[in-house]
Amino acid sequence: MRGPESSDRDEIGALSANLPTDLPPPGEARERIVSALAARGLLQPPGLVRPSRIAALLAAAAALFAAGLLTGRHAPAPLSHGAPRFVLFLSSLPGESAAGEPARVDEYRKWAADLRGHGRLISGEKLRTGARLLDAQKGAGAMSAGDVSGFFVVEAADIDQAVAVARTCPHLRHGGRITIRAIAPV
Amino acid sequence: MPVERDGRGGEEDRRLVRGFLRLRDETSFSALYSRHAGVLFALASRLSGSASDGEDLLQDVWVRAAEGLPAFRWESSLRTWLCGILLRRWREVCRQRGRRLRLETGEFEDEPEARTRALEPGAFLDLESALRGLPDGYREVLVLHDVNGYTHAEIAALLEIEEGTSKSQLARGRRRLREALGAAPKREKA
Repeated sequence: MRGPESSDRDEIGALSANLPTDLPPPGEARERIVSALAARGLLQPPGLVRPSRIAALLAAAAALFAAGLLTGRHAPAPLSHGAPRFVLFLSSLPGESAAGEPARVDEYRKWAADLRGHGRLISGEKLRTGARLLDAQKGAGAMSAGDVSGFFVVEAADIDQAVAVARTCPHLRHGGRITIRAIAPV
Repeated sequence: MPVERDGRGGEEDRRLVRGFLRLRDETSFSALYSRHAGVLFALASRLSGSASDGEDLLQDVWVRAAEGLPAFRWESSLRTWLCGILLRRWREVCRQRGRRLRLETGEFEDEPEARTRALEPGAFLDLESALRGLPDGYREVLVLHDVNGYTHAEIAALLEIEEGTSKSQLARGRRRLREALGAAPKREKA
């Protein structure tokens, strides 16, 4: 609701009143909050399902299975365990604004969810600005976070396939760069 | 209050809260979260001037809400109650960071870094950036009044200040914002 004191507005007030009052939080925020609530005993830990719901879940699973059989549709099979892994380092975006960030992060979240659905995503995080540097010679100190604003870890058959996956990331559409590095098996 | 006067919305909140308190499960929580997280995040990001701080505040609000919901008496709408938690938490954060808000002047004591954010006319690209550049005291009142539609009486109650202080903070905040945006000074009434 806006404007209980509309007579009290000037042009700045009117401009401010046009700002959105509802900005979707980053997608991962909900998961983090759920974890925080569960850790404090304020929410049942994920995976704890009440007996009364088990029957309904089983019925839903059976229906989904039947639907899958009927349509013949299925997601591409995930790569086998031990497949090569790659890190996609996402650059900072020029002119990144706090206002546009939630929508952008939500877009990335959907892309990541799709990738996870295909069994290719292992993890991914957005990184905060600011960093601490530990240097054997100079000791500890604050430093710039550099050019990395986030990362995804994905599975792919080889570097070319990892690049192909990275090409679908919305980060490129926003003018960002993605560096693809293979994780060395140790 | 400036949010959720819709009676049906209130009924939906009551139903969801009852479900959450009964089950304490993720599905019940997610339904509540979906209804209110956007408004809380927008307010938290603007008050703190940063999306990442906004996320932290958002988490704190939901943790406190989950703790306090059994004692919530519905004397206000759920959203107003949640926004109140957010404002109180934000002020705690300010205190913990050593920001001693002086609401009478909108300036800080003992926070040199706040002064490094001094406004430069024309330096801001948009209104959101300009808001982030305001001293916290101005920004709080301006966001609550002009963006979220709270009245001065409501702001006074939420921030525990006088209504007159809220009005003067708003006027000063708008003036600073106008300067930051490079707009012409408002012509004073004769």
